[in-house]
Amino acid sequence: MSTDAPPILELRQIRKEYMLRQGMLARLRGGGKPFAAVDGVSFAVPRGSIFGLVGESGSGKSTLAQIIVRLIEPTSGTMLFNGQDVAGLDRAAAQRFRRGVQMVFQDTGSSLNPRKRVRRVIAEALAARGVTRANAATETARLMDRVGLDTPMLARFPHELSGGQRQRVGIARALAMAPDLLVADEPVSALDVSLQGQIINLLQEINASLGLSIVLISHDLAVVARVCSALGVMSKGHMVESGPPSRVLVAPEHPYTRTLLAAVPSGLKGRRQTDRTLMDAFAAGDMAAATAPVGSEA
Amino acid sequence: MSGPLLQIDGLHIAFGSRSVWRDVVRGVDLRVSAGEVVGLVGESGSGKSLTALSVMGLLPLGAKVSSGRILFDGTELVGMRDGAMNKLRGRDIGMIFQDPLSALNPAIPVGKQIVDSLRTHASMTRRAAEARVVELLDLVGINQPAERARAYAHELSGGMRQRVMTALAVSSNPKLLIADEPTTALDVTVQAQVIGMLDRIRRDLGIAVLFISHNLDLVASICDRVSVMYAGRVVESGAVEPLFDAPRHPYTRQLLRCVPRLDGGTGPMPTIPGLPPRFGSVLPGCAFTPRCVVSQARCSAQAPPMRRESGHLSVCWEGVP
Ligand SMILES: Nc1ncnc2c1ncn2[C@@H]1O[C@H](COP(=O)(O)OP(=O)(O)OP(=O)(O)O)[C@@H](O)[C@H]1O
Ligand SMILES: Nc1ncnc2c1ncn2[C@@H]1O[C@H](COP(=O)(O)OP(=O)(O)O)[C@@H](O)[C@H]1O
Ligand code: SF4
Ligand SMILES: [Mg+2]
Ligand SMILES: [Mg+2]
Repeated sequence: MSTDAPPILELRQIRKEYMLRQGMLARLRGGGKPFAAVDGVSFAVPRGSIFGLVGESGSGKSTLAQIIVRLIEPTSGTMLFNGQDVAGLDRAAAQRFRRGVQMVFQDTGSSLNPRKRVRRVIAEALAARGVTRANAATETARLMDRVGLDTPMLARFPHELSGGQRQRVGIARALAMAPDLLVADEPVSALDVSLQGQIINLLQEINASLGLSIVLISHDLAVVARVCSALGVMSKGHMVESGPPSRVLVAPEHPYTRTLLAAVPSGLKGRRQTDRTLMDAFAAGDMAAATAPVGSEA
Repeated sequence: MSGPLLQIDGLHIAFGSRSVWRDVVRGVDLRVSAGEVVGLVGESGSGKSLTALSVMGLLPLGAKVSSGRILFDGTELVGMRDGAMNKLRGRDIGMIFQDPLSALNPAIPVGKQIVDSLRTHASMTRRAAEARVVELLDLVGINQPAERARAYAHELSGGMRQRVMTALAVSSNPKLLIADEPTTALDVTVQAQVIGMLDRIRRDLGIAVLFISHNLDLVASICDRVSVMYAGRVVESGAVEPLFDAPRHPYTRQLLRCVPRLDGGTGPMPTIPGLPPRFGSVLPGCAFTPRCVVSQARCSAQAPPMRRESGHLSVCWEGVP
């Protein structure tokens, strides 16, 4: 891969507005004004890399994910896939794009049809990619092996799988489309630490062996620090800071990033800080005096 | 007071129907003293929630306490009649869950729900209850409590709902608050707020807390003592500092190694290979054997011994001649 190959994905000044419904929020904010869930976000994902997105709840991470996989259209801004503006794609190219960008969700359980066995979930994805019946069986076996599932699992329904196994099925389904880019929105948030590692390692392994580019959304800074070559920190629709974890998480420039780091529970170390002022500040919802208030909505 | 506030001895909980009952909680001992924060950790499915629900008398359909004792303030809860249990539950034991929406009524403003609870359990007048609601919402860190009291649950963010549910749970001035994964659905900043709030409630109101979580760092930061569960049993328990500093049970050690650290370097994350056993297929010996890195020949066949050293308990064959 030459270094001047275009990034697999580039976002330029992406903005997504929603109209607030007439609820309490709308009243508090003064009528049905549009509000920007994503407000002018730009970043690039180099081909073959893992890019992390972190930030507080409601900061726009999932909205960005949906924009990237084109589940929703941005209000304004440009998105380039492989250097090509996706807005201008013709039908065939748009279809190729949709197949080439796949998503893995936090709770695969709810994204899997409860009445479909694993075998069918994967068969349908393979068929959608145009894999012939004749090749489907070997391809299925290869996928199952890649995500670390035994073949007997093919006969199971989603509810007969553990959370970690469901997540593997979700990844196998995405891989069945032979994507160039995988968007994983909190893929391990619902799992225990012991399983989190297994799934994160799987994503890393897929990235390394297939060269698959990944956008990884997570609220676990330690996970992002470990596997991403770059990350962006989201706060209230803005990407307040981005760069390699060794810089952003070690010498954060933005106060919000510092708040985020301070909020990571530090186990015994935190307990031994006899000074509990941080906890008190958190209890009061005052996330950091230094930060522009993150809003009392939290 | 003599004796712990909550004392669970040899608790077994079984699922089943008429003839086939399978124990999923298999002999849990647990103590919570007044004003103490005790953590209950373990992988999902290890029986943490069922243990908590049995204290509340809220086991799901098809589950029952098959043996063991649950003493609360000296009173046996196992087999207690519904009426008495309801009273105790509303007044002396409060509970908050992972999903606050399930505990809040969508059709009633949140403040009104707390008012109702205060009037029932504390026999307060409406006036007094309304004033107390504002104090409680303020205590759990809700800004503009008087206004927020009029909101419906769906109008609040996840963190705020968790605060409201906590206000509701502590409104009757309980002696014990059971918090079952109260921050698992929240992001780190909101999680820190909820944890800070629990810490404050414990200090300001002196309420004992049974804190259930699979997040070891959270447990280490707010609990006094901790019990680690695996496949329906407590495998290790003790004061937080010695337990986290020098964990004795192999499961605890392997679990702690999995916790991602900011300074944890790069490369694959440490994991515990395999999965916890599905209940019903538990070995006669130690249930952790297939995943244990230091297992011995006798582990799968013989139940490991319970050993206690200055209050630090571990159930394991390791180091036993
Ligand atoms: N369909 C929609 N209509 C109106 N507002 C929306 C819609 N989808 C998202 N929002 C709002 O946009 C903002 C960003 O939401 P988003 O789901 O992207 O957050 P997030 O960063 O993924 O948060 P979390 O960490 O909780 O998953 C939030 O304020 C959310 O309420
Ligand atoms: N309603 C139910 N029906 C059947 N089995 C259940 C039910 N609830 C829990 N279990 C089983 O009981 C065990 C312990 O569950 P639980 O206490 O919820 O675990 P934890 O809270 O530690 O994740 C698990 O094996 C789970 O599958
Ligand atoms: S009893 Fe044996 S298998 Fe079980 S934790 Fe101890 S050493 Fe490991
Ligand atoms: Mg999201
Ligand atoms: Mg549970």
